[in-house]
Amino acid sequence: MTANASQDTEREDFAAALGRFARGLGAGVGERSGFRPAEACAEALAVPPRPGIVSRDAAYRVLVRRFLREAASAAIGRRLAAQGSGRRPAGRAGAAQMRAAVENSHTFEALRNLAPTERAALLLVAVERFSYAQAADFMELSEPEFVRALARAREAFAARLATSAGRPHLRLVG
Amino acid sequence: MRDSVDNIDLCALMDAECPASERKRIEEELARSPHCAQRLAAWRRNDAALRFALCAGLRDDFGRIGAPAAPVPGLDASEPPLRTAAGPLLGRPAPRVRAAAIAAFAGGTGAAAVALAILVLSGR
Repeated sequence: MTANASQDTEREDFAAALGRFARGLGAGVGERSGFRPAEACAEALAVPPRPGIVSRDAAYRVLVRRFLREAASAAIGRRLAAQGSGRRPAGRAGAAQMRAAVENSHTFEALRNLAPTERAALLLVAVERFSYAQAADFMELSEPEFVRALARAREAFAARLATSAGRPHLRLVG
Repeated sequence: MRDSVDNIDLCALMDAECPASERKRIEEELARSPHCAQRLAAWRRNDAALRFALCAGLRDDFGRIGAPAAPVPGLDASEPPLRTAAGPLLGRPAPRVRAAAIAAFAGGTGAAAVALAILVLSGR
């Protein structure tokens, strides 16, 4: 594989990871809200790396700050709350159907019910594996504030999953 | 009853964000508190489920469908698969699983044939 092809694959993988993260952040918000995962991703990917800053960090920083900025606006906050328990319609086939199945899962429902700060904290650490220091920097929080948000997120996420565990939708089976 | 390990300690332990001495202290507390240990186990499962859900279902935004290309960190391969009412959520089973299923089926059929032959030959 040539160096260019390898770089393309690396960039593609990074774009996929960023897209996954953006969709997690925007879970349940959808196209009707101010936060559009694809658009936010494109903005984050266009950020040129600054000296001393890894481009991956820069992209996540842009994405998280955009999400939190828009979540702070009244419009998206109301939509997040209103759509918290809503289910998305199933897609037509293939990828759309797969996405609908996942987004209708209890896991996504629990994610949708988290406040924006808690959701971002959980995704940054649990999915993207950033350190507390990095994630706190992305979210413009002090580290102790960040850890408190993360602990609240895990507690609320677990409580939500525990209450939905008995409902047959998408579940772990033996 | 007050938990002996608070949620912030649990997070620090889970995410390896505490020094070794602090880790040892929290682990000792957890050994004395099954309730807290259960909470930690549930949080670990939830994090893994979240990684699994996001990696499995959302990678297709960029043209790829199905299971994540790389193993999902924290999700034990021995854990049962996610399934929907319509069947497995994630694509085809691993080749070794498929082979084992075929062997089990073939073995069962063979055993039934031998049993039938014995019954016929013994004249029952």
